[in-house]
Amino acid sequence: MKGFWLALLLLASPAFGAVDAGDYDAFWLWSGVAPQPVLKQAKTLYILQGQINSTRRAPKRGVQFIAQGMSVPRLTQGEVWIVYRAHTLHWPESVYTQLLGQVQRWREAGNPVVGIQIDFDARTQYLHEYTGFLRDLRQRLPKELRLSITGLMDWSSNADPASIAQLNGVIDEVVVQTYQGRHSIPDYAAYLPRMNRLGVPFKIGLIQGGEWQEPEYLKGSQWFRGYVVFLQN
Amino acid sequence: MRIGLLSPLALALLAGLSHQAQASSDDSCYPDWRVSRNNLDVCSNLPFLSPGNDSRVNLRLLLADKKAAPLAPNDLGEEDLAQGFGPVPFPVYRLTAPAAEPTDEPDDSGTASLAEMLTSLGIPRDNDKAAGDAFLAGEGSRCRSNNDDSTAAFISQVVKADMPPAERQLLAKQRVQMLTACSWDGMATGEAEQLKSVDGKALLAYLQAAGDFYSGRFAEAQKGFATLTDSSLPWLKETALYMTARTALNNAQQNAFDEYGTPSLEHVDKSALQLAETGFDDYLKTYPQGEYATSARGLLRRVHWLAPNPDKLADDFTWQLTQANDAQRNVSLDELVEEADTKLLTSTTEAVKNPLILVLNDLMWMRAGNPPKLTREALDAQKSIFAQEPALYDYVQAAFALYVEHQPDSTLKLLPQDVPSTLDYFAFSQQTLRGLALEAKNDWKAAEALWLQLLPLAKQPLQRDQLELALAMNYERSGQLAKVFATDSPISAKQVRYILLRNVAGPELLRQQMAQASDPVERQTAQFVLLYKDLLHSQFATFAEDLKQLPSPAPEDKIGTSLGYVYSGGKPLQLFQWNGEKSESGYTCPSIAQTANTLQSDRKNPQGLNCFGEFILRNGLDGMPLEQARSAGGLGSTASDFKGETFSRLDGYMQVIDNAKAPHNDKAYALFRAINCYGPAGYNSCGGEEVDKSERKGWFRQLKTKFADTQWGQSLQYYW
Repeated sequence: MKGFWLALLLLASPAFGAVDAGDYDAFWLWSGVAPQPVLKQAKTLYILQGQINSTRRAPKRGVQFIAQGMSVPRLTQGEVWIVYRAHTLHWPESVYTQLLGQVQRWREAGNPVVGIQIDFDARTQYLHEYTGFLRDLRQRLPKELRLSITGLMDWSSNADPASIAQLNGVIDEVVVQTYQGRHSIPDYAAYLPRMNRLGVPFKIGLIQGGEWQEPEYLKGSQWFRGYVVFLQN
Repeated sequence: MRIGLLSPLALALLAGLSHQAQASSDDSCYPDWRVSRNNLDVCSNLPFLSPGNDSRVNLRLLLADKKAAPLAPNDLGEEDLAQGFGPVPFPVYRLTAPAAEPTDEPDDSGTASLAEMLTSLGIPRDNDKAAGDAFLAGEGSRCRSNNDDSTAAFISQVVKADMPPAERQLLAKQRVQMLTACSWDGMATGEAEQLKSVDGKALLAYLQAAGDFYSGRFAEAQKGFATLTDSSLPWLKETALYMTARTALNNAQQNAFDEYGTPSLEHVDKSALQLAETGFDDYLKTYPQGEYATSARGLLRRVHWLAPNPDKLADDFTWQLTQANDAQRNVSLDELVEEADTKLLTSTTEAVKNPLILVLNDLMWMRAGNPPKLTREALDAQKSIFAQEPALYDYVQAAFALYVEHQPDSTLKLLPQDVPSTLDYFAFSQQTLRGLALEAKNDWKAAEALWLQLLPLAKQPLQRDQLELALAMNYERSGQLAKVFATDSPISAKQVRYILLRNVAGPELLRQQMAQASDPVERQTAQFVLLYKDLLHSQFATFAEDLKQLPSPAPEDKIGTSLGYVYSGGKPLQLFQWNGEKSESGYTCPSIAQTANTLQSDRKNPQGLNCFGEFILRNGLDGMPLEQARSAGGLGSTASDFKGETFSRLDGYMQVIDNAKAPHNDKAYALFRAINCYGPAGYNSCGGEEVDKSERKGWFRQLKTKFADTQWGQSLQYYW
């Protein structure tokens, strides 16, 4: 821990740089966001394709799986992750079937799909349920597909360490958001070092045009795997 | 921290993307409390036609008046309340009915009739998976129609048609086989030759064309279907006509999506699209009530979107939203509203020749912008489009005068002066705009009279809620806050009352509501705000007096959203009885009552100032919602009736640091805490003026040298 506090002392001036998507090569692409020239340099794309909703009336029965994309892409290069937003973890069998069917269609169309990413509103107190869900999902996925999740910075400080430890070996990466709305969260520097505690590879999610100053300790972090930029119109 | 409660990626959407990607009903939102707004906030809509509303909300208001779909807001849920919402303003998703049909229990009438026919034909079905069922709701694919229903429809024709049983069996078997995949390579030559009957051959030709269609061989499919449009079998004739158009459409859009799956309309094959349009028009002319009429109308929307032909698309939507019945719509009304938004409203830049759609676009285009997208000239040029809807045109002009030209007098001239006896949403919008124009002229009295006049007439959902908000804002800004809390006040909206109490009310009003409010939360809130502000505004004698009203022990339950906290945040009244329990950093304080007493007689008392800070620190009051600025012009944004500055603990520590007479220990602790205000990341969490890093460095040096003998001088290793 001492190293971490020392590192914080060494933090550069609190001036921030704007996130220029041109400096990065991994992006989130959501429907409704117009493709930008910067996509040409993408090595990794996370593309939103579906949303799993629960209805309030019958949360367990009325689960809908709603498409978010307009058409199956035809990408030939780089690595593609298909992103699913989940508002519930109570998925009926049909959702798994449709999800895996969609992954299959993407691959048949030649897209280099390497995995799926789940974007779930996982409040720390429900993390335990989430890990169980993810373990089950992992087993349903074809072996060659990786599993990614989006994560929140406060997991690293608020979550039960036992729940966190269970993520290890279940997911291949967590992409941690450092922004809220259009703005970077001011105290991200205080949270990020603790990401190492998760014991899983992590990436840092930035927002195009947001603010970001890479803390110096990050590059030396054992589990840090780079950035993903959320593109905006 | 609050972000912990939002879906991570949803966070980004809240900011700039507005709503494109959200079919969601659950994204987190926070209300912004005001009636008049000229910038979009999808989380804060009101039940009148407003440029600040999401276009889907404005559309639903018009649909409600046309009796196409009643405005039926969902009840406020736990989540809504936790985010601070009252009935208005409301997020878009409160108007979307929760989905009724679960996808794990699909409609299986086609499945049942298919099973029946297959049994009687003696054909086993090895696999009940249909290729067309593998898709997500709303996912686009021509394969979706390759399902049990269309298979049953075909086989029922096979059963009806004139042919030997063997042919019948063969055709049915082939169709069942096609059902399992999204492509089909046709029948083996030997098998095809077994079909000798006229009907058998015709149905085989259809099957092959359908196989070509699903497999993406559009030219072949087109040819195949074309040969059948004169078939003597009526079903075949009708279906083939529809399928030729559908094939043309699929052909036209083959390259219409780029490698990322987003539309690039310049790559649409225009001549194929023209064929599709003519084809669907022909089909609908020949079979206005046909089997595929609903689907054909839906696909025509796609044709008009791809063209792009916004005028025709606007007419499509208008008819399907306001004239059609459920059976005539290929999607639900809710889905149609979403589609109108993404495919038309948010993408058109020119005025469409359709008043219902144009009014929505005009409102969007008059949102704050530099310059606004809508100009007076462009608006004047729309006159003929609104020829049949003069009142709608007047309304758009009145809104333009208010929001863009800031000429409330012009607004008033364009609106009806008399209040009608019943208020649909349009009449309600007219009167709302009148009230807002009066307020823009600072004619608070006339506006107040209007809001009061409208109250008994507000019968449609959410109208009364908006009027209560408008009236409360009127009272607040015209210096009549007490009227909101008068015993005969028509304003019962809890959240509105809480906001005014916590942000604007002075001590007298708070004491009054502590005693007389009928809502217990309001009583507790008033008491909390009173004690908090007495203290933080350094009114120590008054604090001591007001503290006597607090029962001992004080309630332990947290007061949450009424103080402006969200989700599970909140503070109990009990904290005003904080006894100065020994803190982890080893600095001893008496109770907050005693500290206040000390400070009352000696404003600069070092221990008193440190302990005032300790009270804030230990009770988690740094940056609490009562200290957060209200957004300008919104409810509760006028000046607070509490006088004086709010105490900041950083400021308190600095007074101790600068006090030459402060005791050694007190000064050391003040230094320690002041430095920690900037930990662990260099941001001040203690309020007050920012302090330069060089000064913080100086504090650290002082602490480590002059105060090295104190526990804080020893324990602190770094500064930030």
